[in-house]
Order: sequence, then C-alpha cells, then structure tokens
Amino acid sequence: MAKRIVTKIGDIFCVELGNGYKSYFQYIANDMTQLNSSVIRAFVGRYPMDYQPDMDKLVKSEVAFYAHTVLRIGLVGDHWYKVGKSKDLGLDELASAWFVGESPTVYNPETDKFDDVDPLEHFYVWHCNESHIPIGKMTPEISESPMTTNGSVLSWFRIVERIKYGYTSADLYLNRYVKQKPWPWVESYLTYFDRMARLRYYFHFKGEKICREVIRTSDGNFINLSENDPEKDGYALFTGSFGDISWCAWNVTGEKFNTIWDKHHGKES
Amino acid sequence: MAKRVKIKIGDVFCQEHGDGHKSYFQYIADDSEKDGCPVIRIFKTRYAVSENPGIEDVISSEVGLYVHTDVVSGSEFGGGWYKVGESADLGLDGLALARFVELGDKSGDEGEWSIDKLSRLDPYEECFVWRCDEPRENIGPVNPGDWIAGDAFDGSVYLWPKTVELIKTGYITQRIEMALIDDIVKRRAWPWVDSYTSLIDPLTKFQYYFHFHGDNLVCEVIEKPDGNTVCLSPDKPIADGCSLFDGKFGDIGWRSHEFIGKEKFESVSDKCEQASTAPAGNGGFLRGLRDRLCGR
Repeated sequence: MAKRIVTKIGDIFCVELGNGYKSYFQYIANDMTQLNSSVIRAFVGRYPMDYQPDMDKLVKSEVAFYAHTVLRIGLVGDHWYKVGKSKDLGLDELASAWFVGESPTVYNPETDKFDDVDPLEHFYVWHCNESHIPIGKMTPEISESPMTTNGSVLSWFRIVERIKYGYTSADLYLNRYVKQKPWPWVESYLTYFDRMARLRYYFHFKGEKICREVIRTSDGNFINLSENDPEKDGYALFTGSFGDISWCAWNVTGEKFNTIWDKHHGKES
Repeated sequence: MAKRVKIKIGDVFCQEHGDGHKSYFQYIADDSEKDGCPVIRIFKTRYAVSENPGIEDVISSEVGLYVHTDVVSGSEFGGGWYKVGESADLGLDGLALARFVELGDKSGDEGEWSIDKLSRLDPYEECFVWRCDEPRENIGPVNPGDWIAGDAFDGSVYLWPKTVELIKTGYITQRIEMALIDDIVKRRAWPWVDSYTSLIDPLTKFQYYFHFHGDNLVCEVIEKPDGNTVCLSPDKPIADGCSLFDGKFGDIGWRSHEFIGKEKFESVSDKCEQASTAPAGNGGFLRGLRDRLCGR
C-alpha cells in the first residue's frame, strides 16, 4: 500500500544537495491568493550529511527565500523528506515579503477578448493571503526589498535547484530587477548571444563573480578572457555580476565551456 | 450538416488580409519527414481584393515561403483561406531546393533525469536540417547569427492562425515552440509591411526601438539609461555618440515580446522629437555595447 503522506504547517524538510551536503526548509503557510498552495521558507546554509540540526536553532537562522510549491510531489519523488517540526514560523517576516507576478495578457471588456501586453509593464504584487496589487512597471520599493520573490507555484525541481545553487534558471521577468545570487561555492556556466553586435559570449562564474569568458565574434574568431588576462583585441572581460546577465542567458555544461576554452586558449597570441 | 471539404495536392487557396488585399498559396506536397504534414508554397505577390488573377498567373509568380501547415483546418474556420482552383504545376523543383530547419537542446537525451537537465539549456546544441521527404540531419551545435545558407525555412508545423499571419506579413511574432529559430533562419517581411520592435541591451541597459518597412530600417530610437533619447534614421545615421543599426529586419531574431505596436513606437519617437530641441548631451557618451566591444 502506498505510504500516506501528511504535511502540517511547521514541518521542516531536508533537501540533499548531492555533493556531501544538505539544506533545510520549513512549511509555514498556505496562500489563498495563490491557489491555496504551500508557502515555504528555505534557510541559508548547507550542512554536512552527518549533521543533526537543533530544530529550534535552525528556524532562527537566516531565510534564503520564500516560495510557493506543492510539497507532496517532492515527498513522493524523494526530493525532500521530513526531519522535524517547529512552532516558530517566522510569520512576521513572511508578512513583509513581496510575491510578484506578471500578466502577459489583459482582459479587454470592450472586445471581450484578452489583449497581449508587455509583461514588464504589467507586474502585480502581493503579501501572503492578501489581495493582488497591480503596480505596472517594477518599482524600486519592490525590487529593492530584501524578500521579493517570484510568486508562481514552483515545481519541485525549481525549489531544489534554488536551494542547491542559490538561483533558479527559469526565465523570470522579475530577474531583470531582482538579481539572482548563486551561493559563493557554485560554479555556473552561461552562454549569451548579443543579437545586435552578433557576438556570442560564454561565461564562467564562481558565485557571483566572473572567472573566465570566451567571446565568439561574428566572423568565427574566439577571444579568451580571464581575471589575469582581462583585455584582448579591443574586448574586455565582463564587469558585471552573475545577476546582471543570468536572466537573459542559457546554461551550458562546464564540460562544454572547458572544451571551448581549451580549444582556443593560447592560440590567439 | 457542415460541408465536407475535400482538399488535395495541387489546390490553390486565397487568403484575404483584411486590409483590401489578398494573396495566394498552393498545397504542393506531404512531407514524410514531418509525419506527412502538408507543405504549402506562399506566393509573394499581393492583389487587391477586387482583382481576379488567373491560376496560371498566380502559380507562375515568385514563391516567398515554404511552410508546413494544416491546410484543412484553415479552410474550415472563419478568417482562414478558401480554395480558388487547382493546378498540376507544383513547382517541385523549387521545393527540392528548400531546406527546413529545427532546433533541439539535447534535453531529450537518454540518461538519468537530473536538475541540470531541466535547466535552461543552451538551445543551439542541436540543429536539424532536411529537405521535403528526405531524412533529417543534425548539423549542431550551431551559433546564433550564423544563418543557414541557401533557401532555409522554419520547419515547424504552423497552426492555421499562424499561417494566416505568415501570409499577411511574411513572418510570425508569437512563438511558443522553436522560440529561437529566428536566430538561425532569417525572418522575411513582405516589402509593404511595417514592423515595430524594441529590445533592451541587458549589459548597457540601452533600450532600442525600431521601425522597419519591409526588411529596411526606417527609424531607430535609442533610450539611454539616464532617460535621454536619440532618434536616428538613414538620413541621420549618427547622433549623440550613437549610430544607426546597420542590419535588416531579419538580422535580429526578435523574441515574441519584442514586437511592439505602432502606437508604442510613436509615443517614444514623439517624446524624442520634443527632447531634440533641448541642448545636445555630452559627445563622449558611452556608446552601445557593440561599439564598446568592437572598439569602433
């Protein structure tokens, strides 16, 4: 017989990160404004696999992010499991967290149809269990608030991804305004194509900081740049951080980046 | 009872544009490489609705696009096309030269399911190219902006409303699947079509607005992060440290949300004209990323 799954507000779950570490999150509320889905708070920090946390201390630790998800799917798939519970839910902090959504279409009562609109000009925000507030364009008040998160109900893998890396690679309009921050130990590899300049970039970040960059020019030449070698042939190493570029770039594997890097390393000079 | 529509290879259809014009296409083949999906050839010429060109004249005119689409459903729904005749001349020599293209990202590869595979993978890892009724070939990885040579066309199957859009303008704006195919296969706009687009350079935060007539750029407005705007055109290609985009409409793989309406473009260009009476900004202003990186 299938195991009966019961989740209660206050439950604490563990996510194994797969590299000898684990992290925790807590189920703290249901949000009627978002389909009555479960709201979780994920805690900052990764712990060795043999670590036994004190639940009361754990829930006092810093919150990494809030998110909406469906707990059951993660439990059935063994993507997380329950390790304890706490009555401390940190609801005061949750009450000040902004959830953000955007509308790609707007109902037009005159034509009785939905018109396509620019989602970047149709953001709405809400606090858990409160009504939506349409704000139009993103405002600094929202984007600079420390706890502003995408309010969509996220799949288990987006939750695990964010706990593991510090960011999710989902293409969120919000990430143009709220910068994504990988954990300092995370290596990320991205590719971005500048359509006007016809330049293709490959980036290697450690945490938020750029380590290496390969630029492919429109005539098929490659330029390798790094911290030690930041300028070459009129091109300069990207000076921004991971969050400046991540929302418009695509992931490549480290293997692919290294192949491209090695192929052209030392060739140009 | 609804009338049964019998459609066969060789049929010629008319699509009205809704602006007093119409144009034609012909159903010319079923592509076994795309599960037997019908292939049509869309003719470039548009006619006034009152004109009545002969079928032979229509099918001897220049072909603009080859497309996979469901011919039947477009003729059954309102707003779609209707049959006007048929011809045994299918122009298959032309079709034989057409190459169809699709992208893949290797996310379907066999192996263990992992978080990393569900992430936003590089979409240019796989690129499939085929000719009608011939097996596809993977030529990937490819680089965006390296256009597939020769007569290349997006090989995905178009639902009939998309095909209507294609017949009217030469391209489609909204893509859910194959969103990035326009980085590999150039969009084509019919010569009479006005297109308005906008994109932001994520690195410099410059916002660019474009007005194209056919494939050619008519006007470009650049909104700088400090709120200043610059208006450029072929008559005034350089101003305030910025230069006019030197490409055609199809040289940029526009994303769905980057197509803006005429009104939006005009609201920006109007603002720009008012501002141009103000004193010019400093000449040494940081130029767009393309200039900065290219050392121009």
